[in-house]
Amino acid sequence: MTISFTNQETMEKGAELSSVIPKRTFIPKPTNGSFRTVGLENRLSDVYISKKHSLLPIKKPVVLPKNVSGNNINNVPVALQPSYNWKYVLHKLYQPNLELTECVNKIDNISEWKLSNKNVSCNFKQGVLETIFSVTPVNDKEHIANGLSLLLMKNPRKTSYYNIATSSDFAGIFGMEYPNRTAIQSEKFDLPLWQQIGAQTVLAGEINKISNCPFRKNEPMVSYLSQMQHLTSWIVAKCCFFMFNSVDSNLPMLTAQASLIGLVAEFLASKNKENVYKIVKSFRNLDINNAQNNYKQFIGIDKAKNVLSKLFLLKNPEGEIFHPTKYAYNVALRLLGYAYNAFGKQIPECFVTSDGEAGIIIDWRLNNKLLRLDIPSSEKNKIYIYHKQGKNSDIVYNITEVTLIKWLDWLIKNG
Amino acid sequence: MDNLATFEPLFLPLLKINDILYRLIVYDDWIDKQTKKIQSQAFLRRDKDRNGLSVCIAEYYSLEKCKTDSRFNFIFGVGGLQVHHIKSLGLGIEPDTMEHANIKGLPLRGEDDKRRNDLAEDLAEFCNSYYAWINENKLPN
Repeated sequence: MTISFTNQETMEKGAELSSVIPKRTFIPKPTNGSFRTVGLENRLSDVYISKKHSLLPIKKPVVLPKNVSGNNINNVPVALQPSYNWKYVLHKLYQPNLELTECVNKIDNISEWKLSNKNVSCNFKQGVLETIFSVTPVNDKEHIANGLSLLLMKNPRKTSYYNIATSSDFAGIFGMEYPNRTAIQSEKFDLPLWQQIGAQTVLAGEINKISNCPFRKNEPMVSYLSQMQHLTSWIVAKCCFFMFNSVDSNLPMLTAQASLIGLVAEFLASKNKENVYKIVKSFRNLDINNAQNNYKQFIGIDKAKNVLSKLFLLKNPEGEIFHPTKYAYNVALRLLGYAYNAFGKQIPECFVTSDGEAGIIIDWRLNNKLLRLDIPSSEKNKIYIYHKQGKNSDIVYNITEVTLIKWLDWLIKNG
Repeated sequence: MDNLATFEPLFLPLLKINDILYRLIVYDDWIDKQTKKIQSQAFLRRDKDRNGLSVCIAEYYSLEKCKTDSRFNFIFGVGGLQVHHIKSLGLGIEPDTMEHANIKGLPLRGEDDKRRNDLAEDLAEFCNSYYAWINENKLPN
């Protein structure tokens, strides 16, 4: 399935949907809490303003502020309305040729799902790494209506967490120091990862309608609660997938454990913090000891490092600089790592060379097609992709991981 | 290669369309080890190529001279280009010594990246039939 929509189409569809979607029935209760948002893209045309556990939908589009800090983080847009945005986000995430079903199929490899009335758990296996996570819904309608929280540990030693709140029509990501409701900078962590998780979270409600979410096969949707089970399990699986496939260098410290105990934690927070600590502590101890070993699972990075390593073997003759700068190397590592994780062995062998000015040029050639990723030595110059097929060629700027994947897809699949 | 122009020549050679120009390859990975083909990266003009892409005029600077020239410890190959091929791409050639010339008209990075790469691809295409592998014993690692 290829998903491709223009923003205009998305907006039109969003407007159309907005007239048929029932209004929210619960009344938000503004609190003193404050969330920190991580935007899906630099530009967001449809965002909603939210406070802690509160949604205050507004009709006018809000531009995501670039810098929000200090006490001004209240009223930061954290929520996205999937009915308006999901196609737009899909477009951004999968544009234009990356098939959603590829991602879904990988999630489907999850085995040993266990489902009970109170808890959903499964083992997530990738290589020798096994992740155990559970989905625990809370029988509290108001709480569910305000969104489920997925608690992910970034660095247990520092006891900092990221929280993803979601419901069928609301999603937001914020960093927090648990149990204090203090928003923290999450940009340092892995912005692309959180963008993706955020997008996936937003999309979850829609995705499970159009794809084969694991639970759908066996479990009929009998109630709103089970729908939320379904939804959150899907989100957890998605998050795990992206954690496993992210290439951010901080990820070794990201425990492979993901759990929806945050849902419980959120619920208990106002009643018994001690219990929350117990839950978090037991969760934390599960896998952090193997964090460094987990890093080896990020085969994309390893492959990328191998590919780039030969650049350092070269001597620098007079007037030439063959060793890449740190900037060029890091960019290449990030882009290549992401690409190898996405495509694996499908990617033809690349030809990595120095540009003689401390930058890196990576060429892929397949049949009569050429794809060239040119990474300059510094940010002063633009990264670009040069692609050529026969006599036709063009240049693409503003290169991100998604852009590279798009063009690798072009190289591999289209003829 | 700019240091070839160490003095002002009294007169400069007139290039004929069948003359051959050598592009000295300073980076072993700019040569495909299996096909012995010069890669297009060798023809991407860089900031250091202030006067244009540096080439040697084969008539006055032979392959033997390339091999024995002690100034080039890091020459891994030589690609040959015919003058008419270069001119067919709309590029100019300006000799600055008897032995050396610069190919004019190649954009620098950021000026016109598409044309820069297009021309490099074309030059590499024309270049592949002229090749000499020298200084093999100087390959690093």
